Amino acid sequence: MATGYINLFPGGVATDGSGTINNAAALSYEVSAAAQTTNTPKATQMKLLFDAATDEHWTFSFMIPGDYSSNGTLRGKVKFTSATTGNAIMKGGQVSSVDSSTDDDALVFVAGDVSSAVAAPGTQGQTIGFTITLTSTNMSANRKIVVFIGRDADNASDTATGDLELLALNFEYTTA
Amino acid sequence: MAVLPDSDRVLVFAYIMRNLSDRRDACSITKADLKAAVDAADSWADSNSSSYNLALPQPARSALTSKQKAEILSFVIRRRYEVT
Repeated sequence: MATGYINLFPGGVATDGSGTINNAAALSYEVSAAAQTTNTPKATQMKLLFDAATDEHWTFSFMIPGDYSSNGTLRGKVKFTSATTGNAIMKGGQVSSVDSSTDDDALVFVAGDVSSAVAAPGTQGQTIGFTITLTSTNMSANRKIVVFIGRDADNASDTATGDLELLALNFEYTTA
Repeated sequence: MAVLPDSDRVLVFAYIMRNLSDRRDACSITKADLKAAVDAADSWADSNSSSYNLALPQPARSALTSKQKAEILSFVIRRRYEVT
């Protein structure tokens, strides 16, 4: 028994804005403002910008690995564009398709699971980690899964001003 | 003119946060504190609208519409504080 990982972001797709609170985060491209060291390019990365006033999301679909045994956690790294105080609340969820059973045309996330408060570092540009424990209904080895990540901007405990930037996201699970 | 309805104040609040992020300005207060500042600015504008109107010389005071007078104040403040 160990911990398995799948890298989710960079990757995934935007939600399409239909329905209710189905808004997408903004995909952005960041080039380091720092002077380069000799013989190196500029550090460049993709990031997702999550608004502070409107819930926004991003989704990922993949196969649950064959060595999956139990559990499911989203583990990510974020930074805050402006805020040097306050907290953000991240949310995530999953829906897994059972072969010859689930209607994959009409998937619904089993829950909107939330993180603990993610505190903005006191200095701009510093990263902080978070985890979300997913409700694991129907998660099983070799099933197809859709996962979402979002910022719960209207959560009373989400107090940080301005955008939150998602820099990296993993799906973690316990192996057989 | 009364103070803005809260739905409009929320739009202003969200717009300011987007601008903060676009400029990558540091912000060391929470969303609740920033919203309180927006509310206070709107209340101040409402309380002092007569004073601003009386400060305008004639014939502007009589000839300009309320919207035109508001535009003058808006652009003057933006220029003074270099707000883009």
